[in-house]
Amino acid sequence: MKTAWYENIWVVRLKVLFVSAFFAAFGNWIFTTKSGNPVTPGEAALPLVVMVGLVLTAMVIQMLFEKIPHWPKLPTALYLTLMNTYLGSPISPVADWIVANISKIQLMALCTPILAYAGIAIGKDLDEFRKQGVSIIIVSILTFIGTFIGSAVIAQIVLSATGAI
Amino acid sequence: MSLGTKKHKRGKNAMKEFLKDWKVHVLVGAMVIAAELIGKHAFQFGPVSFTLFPMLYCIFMGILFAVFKLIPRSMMETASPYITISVLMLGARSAATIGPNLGLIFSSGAALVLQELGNLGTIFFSIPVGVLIFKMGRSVVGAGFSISREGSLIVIGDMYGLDSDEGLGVMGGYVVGTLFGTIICGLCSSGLASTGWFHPHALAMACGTGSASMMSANVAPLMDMWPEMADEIYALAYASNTLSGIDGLYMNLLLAIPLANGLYKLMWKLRGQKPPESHKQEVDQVDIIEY
Repeated sequence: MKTAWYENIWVVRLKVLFVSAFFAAFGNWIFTTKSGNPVTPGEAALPLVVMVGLVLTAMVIQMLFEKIPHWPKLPTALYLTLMNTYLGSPISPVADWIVANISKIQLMALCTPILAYAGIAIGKDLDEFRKQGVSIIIVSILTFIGTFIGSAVIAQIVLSATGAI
Repeated sequence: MSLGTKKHKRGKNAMKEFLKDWKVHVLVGAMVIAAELIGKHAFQFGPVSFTLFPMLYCIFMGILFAVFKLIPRSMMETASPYITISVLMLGARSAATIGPNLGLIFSSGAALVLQELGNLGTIFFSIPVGVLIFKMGRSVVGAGFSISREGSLIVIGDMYGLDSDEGLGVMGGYVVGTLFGTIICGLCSSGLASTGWFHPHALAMACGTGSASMMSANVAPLMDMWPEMADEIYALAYASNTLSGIDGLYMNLLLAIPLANGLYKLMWKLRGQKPPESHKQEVDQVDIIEY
């Protein structure tokens, strides 16, 4: 049976991307107002639509590549990153426009809707969390902290050794 | 004519299906506005200061919703796949930072690649604590060899099975990370940044753990603390995160698990006891990967 249009993956993707972008516009407005350089939702609209367009383009590219036999399954983010690295780099004809406009959207404001979806979904794992032993919880927390500190220490040493800082 | 009406009706029902999840989206909107209005807050804890950002309040709110059963399970299940879609907006945001900072990324290449090994450093910390203090069995290997994201689940699931002790550990770590990962990351990076021991570039590279939301929680306090370097910081963090996403699986498989296994044995030897075996008979596979 054919999937109904509202269950189509592209429809769902479009819906979620536009809803996130919509709320990010308002989040960005409040965020930038607080930091003294307000970007209104009207000004944020174009960059956000472009960003949704970039995500969709990456998804289409991914779909096309995956039609190639034996092409490995790679995350969408990888296609997106490679494409965006080019678009923002000095050899890209649209770099100035991209950088000037997309920079209007504060990263932190963009994260808020994403983590709001994550926050709503969190409850799913809460029961599972309650079942965990204290020791596993503590070891996991230590692992998170240790990973960050470990990387920071090595980066600091290598950057100093190579004279980069 | 009747056909036309039927079609119209079907269209209306389909629209209803399409908008079925409106509650999730409206709630997201309300959470975003509330979180942004509260704004960031810093608090001092001895010489170290921690900063909380609006994105973290969304996680707190979600935990409260779940604890007080304010939202139905169906909403949680609807929201879950939407995270993977919306998180791509962060990737789109990178267009403005990665390209212009390519020079910086290449000149920091050695540090960027080597700091990936820092992800292994945590094993020297988590396994001894787990074995020496909590007397943990094989589950400590699962919980302590990595930050237990999806890639780690795959590796452990493949090697030991998720129903083994190691699987129990990695699943536990996964749940802890899902619930508290962003909060831990946000506190950890703002705390470490406030000590002044590290260069912002070094901290930025440490932000990339392979999870985009944790990377964001890590990087937010840094960008706030050094606004004039914000773009550089994000570019390095994003590059490091992408790198972790690529090398993570191999690093786990070839380095992290053998290292965790070796340390596990060593720590139990220090205790003067025989290390507990996993409760699943897959010893052959374990031996292959240990060296």
